[in-house]
Amino acid sequence: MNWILGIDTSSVALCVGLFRDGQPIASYSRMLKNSHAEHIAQAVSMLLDNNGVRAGDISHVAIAAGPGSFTGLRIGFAFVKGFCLTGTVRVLPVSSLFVLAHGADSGDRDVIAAIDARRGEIFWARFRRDAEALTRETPDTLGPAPEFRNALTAGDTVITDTMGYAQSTVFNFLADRPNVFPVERYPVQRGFICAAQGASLLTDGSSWKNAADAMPEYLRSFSSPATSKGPLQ
Amino acid sequence: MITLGIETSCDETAVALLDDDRILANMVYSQIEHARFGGVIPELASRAHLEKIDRLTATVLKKTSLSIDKCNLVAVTDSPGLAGALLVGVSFALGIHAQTGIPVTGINHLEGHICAIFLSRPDIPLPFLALVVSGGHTAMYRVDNVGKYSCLGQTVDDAAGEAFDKVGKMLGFPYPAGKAIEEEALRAGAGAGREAVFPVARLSGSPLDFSFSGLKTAVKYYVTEKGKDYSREHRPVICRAFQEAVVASLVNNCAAAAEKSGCKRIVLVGGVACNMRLREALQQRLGDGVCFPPPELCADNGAMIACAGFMRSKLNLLRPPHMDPGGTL
Repeated sequence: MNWILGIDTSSVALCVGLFRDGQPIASYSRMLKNSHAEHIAQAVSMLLDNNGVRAGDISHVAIAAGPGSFTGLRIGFAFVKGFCLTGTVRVLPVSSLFVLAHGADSGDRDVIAAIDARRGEIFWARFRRDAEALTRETPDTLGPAPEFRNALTAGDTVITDTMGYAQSTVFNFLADRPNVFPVERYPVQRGFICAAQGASLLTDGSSWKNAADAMPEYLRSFSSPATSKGPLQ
Repeated sequence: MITLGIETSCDETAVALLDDDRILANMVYSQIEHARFGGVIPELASRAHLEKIDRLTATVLKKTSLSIDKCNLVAVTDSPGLAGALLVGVSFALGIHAQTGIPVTGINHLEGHICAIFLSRPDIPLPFLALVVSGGHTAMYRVDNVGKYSCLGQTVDDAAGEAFDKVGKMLGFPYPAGKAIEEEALRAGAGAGREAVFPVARLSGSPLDFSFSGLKTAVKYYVTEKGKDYSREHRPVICRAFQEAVVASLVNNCAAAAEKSGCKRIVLVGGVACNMRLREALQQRLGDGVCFPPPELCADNGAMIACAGFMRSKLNLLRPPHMDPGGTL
């Protein structure tokens, strides 16, 4: 029997989910801005305890790997690395945009998942829904807002995430457009989707990693202090 | 009792295992990634911690032939420090707890530095004065017991180690510059002239507080006034004068604190405690009452955090980690 734990700390919501083989068991999601580290252990323990599962029973962990909040991603990955220190648990990094794209029922339209990356840039990717599955059309991309705007076509469904940034304006141009789903109003059970993705890829050994090799996909590389706050003064 | 200590508050990823107060393994990964920027870049530090933390822990466990479930306690730094860096260590520790049920306790980084002395001097009598001097902190505490600290004085601006790094940058040394300045000062020789003399700050109203910002500015003005060629040629003398000013400030305040409190035992801890000139000057002024941990336990390390966890557990002072990047002792 395989127990799959799903974890998503890439945005404002702290989300965990649980699958047994291909069977959904439970999920838990809570809006917790700036406090994922304080609650992640409690959230996982509660999910497992309430379903009679011991931590040692977990054989696989699927985790949202970004893009998203750098700090949130690191909290999730650091937790998973500690959780998997015993060495037997396999880890599946899942694209946060892929997870987000599940938040919209796009019918037969393409769905574009987009996250405010600050600095006037957007993390985004395009997916196509065939039957019940989402297939990727473009890789996860970081680009300026106008580039994202040009990539949209009239029939697209768009799901957006400002990552709790109250001053976000990059998605304002979508205000009058149909089929736009801000995740703040249409929450996504991201931990559940991570676990579901893990369940669907259980037999695909090449997708799974040792915890030590699993790292976030920041998409924005760190280059020089010119693009950051610089050294501590 | 086996304690796993985890330290990620700044730019060192450190993990250690202790059996009571005996070090079984103590490993530190110093992030050289920051050297090219001349200072610690918080985002870079957080990324590097995440890359190293589990591999370092696995190496420590392998070195001691222990499995994680043999640990009785996980002690992790939760304050003060860089928020993103602390979060990596705390989240990692909580992951271990969620899998194994091993209790996790949060440790104040400064308390960790102070507890480093118990690793080399477990019999040190209480109370004592602890001078914590590092790149991020300069403060003096009266230590009545583990968990019972009174702050007697602290820096009102830069930390001493920070002043070393910033002056080092002015003089063309790579980051971190503490060791390089100490070595350069030695080249000036004992009989070198006194071409450069820098002020030692005395703060009226709070005589046990420290200040190094004015000293840093004095060096800057001196270097600017004398010019690049002169400063390069006389770098050993400048380093010596700067180091003497820092040492005088620290030693003067220690002597004053010892006199005021009546406590003659003084423990020097933190990264700057590796400075041999500071050790020598403190001993000259205050005699045999001065002691220090070995250099490898002065800089940030996991053993000091594990030791603080072990000592707190003996006194039933364990507490869950709570993130407090700006926390004080």
